[in-house]
Amino acid sequence: MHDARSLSPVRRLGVLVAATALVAAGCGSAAGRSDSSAESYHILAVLALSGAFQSLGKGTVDALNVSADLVNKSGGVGGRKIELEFVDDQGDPTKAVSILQAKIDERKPDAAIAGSTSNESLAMLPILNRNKIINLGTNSSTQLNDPAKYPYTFRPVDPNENIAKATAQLFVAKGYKKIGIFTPNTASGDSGKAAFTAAVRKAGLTTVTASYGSSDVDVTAPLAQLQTGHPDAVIFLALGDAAPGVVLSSRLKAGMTAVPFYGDQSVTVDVTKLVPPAALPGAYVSTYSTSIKPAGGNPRPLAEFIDAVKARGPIVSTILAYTLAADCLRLLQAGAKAAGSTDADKMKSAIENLPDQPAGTWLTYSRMKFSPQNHFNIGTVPADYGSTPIGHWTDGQFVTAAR
Amino acid sequence: MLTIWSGLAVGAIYVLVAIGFNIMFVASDTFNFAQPQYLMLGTFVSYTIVVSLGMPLVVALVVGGVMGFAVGVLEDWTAIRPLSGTGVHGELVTTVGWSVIMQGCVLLLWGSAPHRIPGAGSDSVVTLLGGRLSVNDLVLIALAVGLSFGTHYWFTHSKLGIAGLAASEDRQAAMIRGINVNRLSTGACAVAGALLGSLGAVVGPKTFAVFTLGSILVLKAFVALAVGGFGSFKGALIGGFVVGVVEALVGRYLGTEFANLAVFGVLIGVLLLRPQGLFGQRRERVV
Repeated sequence: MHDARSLSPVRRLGVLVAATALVAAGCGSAAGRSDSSAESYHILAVLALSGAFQSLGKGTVDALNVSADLVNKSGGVGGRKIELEFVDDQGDPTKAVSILQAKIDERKPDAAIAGSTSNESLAMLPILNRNKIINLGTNSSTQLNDPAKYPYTFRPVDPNENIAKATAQLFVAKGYKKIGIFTPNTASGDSGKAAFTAAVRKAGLTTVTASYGSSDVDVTAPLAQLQTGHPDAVIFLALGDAAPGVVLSSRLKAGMTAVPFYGDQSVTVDVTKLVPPAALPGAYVSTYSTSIKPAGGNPRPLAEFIDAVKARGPIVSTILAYTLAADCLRLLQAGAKAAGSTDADKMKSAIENLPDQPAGTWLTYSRMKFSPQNHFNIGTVPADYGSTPIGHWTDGQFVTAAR
Repeated sequence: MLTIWSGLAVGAIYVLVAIGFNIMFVASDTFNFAQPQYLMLGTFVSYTIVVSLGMPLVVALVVGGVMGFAVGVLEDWTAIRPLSGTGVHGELVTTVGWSVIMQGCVLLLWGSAPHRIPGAGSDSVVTLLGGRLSVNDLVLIALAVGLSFGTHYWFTHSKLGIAGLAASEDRQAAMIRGINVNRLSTGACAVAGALLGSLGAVVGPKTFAVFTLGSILVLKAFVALAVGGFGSFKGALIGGFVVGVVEALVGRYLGTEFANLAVFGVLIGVLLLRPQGLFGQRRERVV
């Protein structure tokens, strides 16, 4: 039998120290949570900061940091200063899920930037929505746009259908009849293939499709498959930094230089550094206007944003990746303002019915609109899209050789 | 024929990595999972020498070889030798660790962006036997064939090569016969590293200098060796080309989503019919 009186002085001291530590830990923990929620708006960003997609992730980090400073200067999110926390999932969906769960257990964030690629995002969405965490990102697989299944998931990106529609109209204007669609075997690739196929067919053109492995070092064989369909032009998606180089080098080898190749917005690097000059004639991008430097220079908000990003370090991909990330935080700010609260349910409803914002609010598009049925941006206008030959490149923007 | 050439060119890279695997395996009975990273290192060395410094390709071959040699010695001393001969093959784990270290170091030194390396000879494309391929692809295929036969001849006809075979078959017996197995293991790791380090200058124009290259190649090169037979250089040649051509043909006619399925189907088929691989030798011990 042991009671308190039977404890030795040393044991009594031990019990006292342990009890004090427990009380202190409890107080400290509670105080930490309370301070954090009162003073900051905690955004957890689970991104590919190493591995094959790290240029996407690192660009997002720079953009979020720059944008958080700007948003905080203009009042933060619902009056709360943004506090960013970055974690690396190496582009691996399995790692993303385990890291996210651990982070939520540790401290539930107010919002999340979920994944650099759609595969990571798709893995994380069930957990984020179950926990009622508003989550955004820069990726655009159509599977992410399912408000019934993922009510707290939004993307400032437009649905793939919109850029596919703009590209299809470009092909009609050029007089092409048959379009080759060349995509990687990934969620983004499949989503892009579906969107481009639908848009091109709706525009009255015919299609021929082929796909390639996202880590392939030579895609001549699937291009040969595409070639048998005799396309007048090809739209290709390129996931990964080396992919545009692999596609255009293989095009040269497959003898398809007479066929114009259009990379979509997934072409995010300076392709001129990846392929020999002989591979460039007939190579174009069909992307967002923000990734193409206008002859007269960039609009002021975008120019200022680019300068702020450059001040942090070199721009490693198209500026689109940065502007989309920045628009994520601007969307949270606009959502909280419209809701008059940072409560997830109220912000969700406010974003679904977001009023028009002053010009210059958004860096990627002219307008941002959502609905209860559509959590991707449906407010874009034709001027938000453009096309240019792949020539010179400066500060994350394509510049045509003629300029 | 375009598809066949494409498959042979990619297969040639698998062959080169498989030869590196084999040099280590034959000389020291060690499977070095870090081997493809030497090729990756070689591509970045080549990029620096040829593109950044504007020096000739031959300098890249030499410097890549020297760096591969030095890193190979270091790997043997730190990740292989302390565990060799213990009978538990712990080096299978430590070489994976070394692979991660190499990849991380390259990432820190050169960054994540892919870099283009000008092709050996030129970037031009030629038509051969009715199919198009780049001059660099042709060089790759020729190198794969030449190196396979060269290493096979060396291991079966040179004194050092035969000593390596002896050490691989029975380490204790080789030591009793006066063979310095530790030095042999270090030499094999250094030579394999030097070979792949220098070949980065030839492989880089096809794959780009990209830090994930080793991870992309390791599985396919392993499959190539398993199909051809561990320890056989002729097997590495056939296995690499089979994997490359099967991948290309399936990608061309059925779709790339079936390519990996077909490659592993071939592997399972070969292993069911000949567990030692097409050219591997079955080792039997009388007890």
